[in-house]
Amino acid sequence: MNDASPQPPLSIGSWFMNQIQDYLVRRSIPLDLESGMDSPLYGAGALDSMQLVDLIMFVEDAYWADYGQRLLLANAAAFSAKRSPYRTLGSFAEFLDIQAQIQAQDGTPNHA
Amino acid sequence: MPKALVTGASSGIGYAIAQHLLQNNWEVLGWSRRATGPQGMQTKRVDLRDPVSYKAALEDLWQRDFSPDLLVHAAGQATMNHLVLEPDDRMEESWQLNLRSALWLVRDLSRRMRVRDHQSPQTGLGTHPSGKLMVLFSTIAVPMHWPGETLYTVCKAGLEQLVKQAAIELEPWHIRINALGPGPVDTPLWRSVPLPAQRAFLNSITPSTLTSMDEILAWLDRQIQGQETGQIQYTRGYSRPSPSPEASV
Repeated sequence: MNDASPQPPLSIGSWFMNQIQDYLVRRSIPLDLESGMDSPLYGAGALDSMQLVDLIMFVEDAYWADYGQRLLLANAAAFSAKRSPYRTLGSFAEFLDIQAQIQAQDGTPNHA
Repeated sequence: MPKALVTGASSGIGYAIAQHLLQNNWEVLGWSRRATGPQGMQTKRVDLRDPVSYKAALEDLWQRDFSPDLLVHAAGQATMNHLVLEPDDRMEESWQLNLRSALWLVRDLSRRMRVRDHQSPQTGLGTHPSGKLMVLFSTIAVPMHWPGETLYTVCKAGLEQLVKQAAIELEPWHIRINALGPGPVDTPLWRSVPLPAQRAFLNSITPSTLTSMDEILAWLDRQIQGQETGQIQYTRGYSRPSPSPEASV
């Protein structure tokens, strides 16, 4: 993207929450977010696996559209973690923040 | 103007398809090791066996903001040899080019081809009325079990399974994926096959003729206009017995 693309904010928690809410409205998914960042995202009573993949793609697209930076959020770091980074809104937001910083330093994203 | 990414666009089936699409007013980006192709095609040099080269080409796709309506993965390398004579490097190369590259492309191009919620205005939501389509190439040698084709057909059988599986996983994103398994095509590899073996191969399929480029282009046109997904189709029937091992290796 060009140099005029805005830089990612230091904390992206609020941006991420907006994306989640946007996603749930667009897909008409009645997920309970009353617990804020502690709200379960993936697993029993929350998103199923296909919905999670769709959400990951949605967030990647949104990040590219808003910040001009390409992220891969479904990568080896996510799948090798002892606890899934997608389990709650907070854990996903934290994972997103870390991945954004790592991939910004490394340049292009990597599946490895 | 609909957009197509064609791999292997510098020669053979990939070249013919790229040329056909350009003549039908598609914008075509061709990936190949030589970065050449028909006039009017954008080109990008890429070696699909090399992860670094592939990753650079993929990044180039994002930087161009090129979202294909159609992926044609025509890059590939047919081989003929008895399995026990296959050296390690040929096994590695066949797996890398004939199957791993297909896995990579389907995985990564899905991200570019799905109708995205945050699509940039200049990209649009897909410009072809029949939606997004991935086309891969198998070979009629998969169902024929022709001797001397073990390495090649093992990779292509994997590719066929990829088509069937990915069709299910990509359907929610309105991306279709199909494969064509051509019969023998008049290529340098085919011309290197001894005449008795050529006859044996052709006698085992029906009709017993080489597959022409026009047949492949007609099949592609039907795919572009169609709605099917997860389909493997062959240009020839194969009701007759396979040739004996002695006839073809």
